[in-house]
Amino acid sequence: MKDLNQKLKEWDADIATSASRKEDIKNKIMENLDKQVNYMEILSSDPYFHIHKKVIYFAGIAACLCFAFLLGTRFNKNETAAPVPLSKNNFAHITTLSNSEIAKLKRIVSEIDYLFPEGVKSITQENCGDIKINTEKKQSLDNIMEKVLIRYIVLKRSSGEKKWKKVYVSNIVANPGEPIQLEGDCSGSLWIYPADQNIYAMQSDLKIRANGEFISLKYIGGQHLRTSRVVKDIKNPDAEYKVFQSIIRI
Amino acid sequence: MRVHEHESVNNFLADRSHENFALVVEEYFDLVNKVVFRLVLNHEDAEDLVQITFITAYQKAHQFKGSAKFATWLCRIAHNHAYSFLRKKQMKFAPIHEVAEPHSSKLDHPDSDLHRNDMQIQIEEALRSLPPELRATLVLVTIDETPMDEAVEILNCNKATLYWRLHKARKLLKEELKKRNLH
Repeated sequence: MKDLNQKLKEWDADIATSASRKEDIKNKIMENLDKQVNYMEILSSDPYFHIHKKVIYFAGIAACLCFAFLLGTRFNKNETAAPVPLSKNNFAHITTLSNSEIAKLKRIVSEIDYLFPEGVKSITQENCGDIKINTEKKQSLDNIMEKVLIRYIVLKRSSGEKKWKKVYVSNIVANPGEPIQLEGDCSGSLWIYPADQNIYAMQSDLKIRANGEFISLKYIGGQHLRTSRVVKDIKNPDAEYKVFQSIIRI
Repeated sequence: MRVHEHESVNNFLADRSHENFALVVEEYFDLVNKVVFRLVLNHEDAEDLVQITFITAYQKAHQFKGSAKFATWLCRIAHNHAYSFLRKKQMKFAPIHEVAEPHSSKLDHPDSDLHRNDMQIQIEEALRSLPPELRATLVLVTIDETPMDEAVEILNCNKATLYWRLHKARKLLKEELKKRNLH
């Protein structure tokens, strides 16, 4: 059984362009050196592309609406400021997503990726509001990694009360290895990277505005996939706050 | 600091004439051809992209600062064009890993698969199943044994990403070869 490297080297050695073809190509290069090349035209010279551009844009809008709807229905669920009974199990219930929910989200994100081939840097939604899609051109090509959903949930319990209330939720879809800047009620920088099979390293410097309070969140560390952890626990005389951070590969 | 360059590059950078560039093309044709072919895995597309790569290098030569090797810079242009091409193809048809060139073009092309053995074709098909970024990393590091610093420069990613891609590419390729009873 040949070693993988050896096989690849043999395959590579077998790639050959005939001498006559080489000369043809070299001649074409020299003939066209001074021509103004419209690279985009060359690279997408198929009329199919132009015909479908409009369709793609419309599909994009439709997909975004679907995305908004699905995210909305999904994340809106239980994400209003309803009181939550105090128990550890309930925290898990609030902060994690089921397999089918993740699969649905994965499909939607992959659609958005398909519609924006220049690359989607991040997708964010806060408190069931507008969905922001950042299509800023990426510096790296890390889009091959599976995207990650980072969720922040802030729970509040007023002094003297037993029940917790969900006061803030943000869902951020990011590409591992690519730092992102966030604006809105959750603002600052965020960077996530796979450290091991199921562990992500994460660095964040965020400020979350929840229920009129500003919560500063600086985090450097690792976290297992599909787990939630309390990254901030604040006790004020009048209220307590817990910030949960979850990481889900999508 | 400017790195040591091949004589043809130095001559061309000093005098950006067609004659001097012809020598650059002569020197780096095989390199660019391989880089591009490994990514698009189709001779016809590779030929177009090789032309575009060299024409870009000629027209953008004034932007070459000499902080990296000319060959590295050239490879990066080739990679960028190949990625753009594959993205367009992906947009038109399917996810990148599902993109396959029509078989008729393979047979019609002078450098077709006809002379190649089944093993080589199977390996190529297995490579085709990898996303281009993983494929590029694998061939650059495994076949060319490109130093990590240079590979990082060509692929425009950080070292951690490079290692991750390499690990993932090898894993996926092994699985693919296993399916084909080749590993």
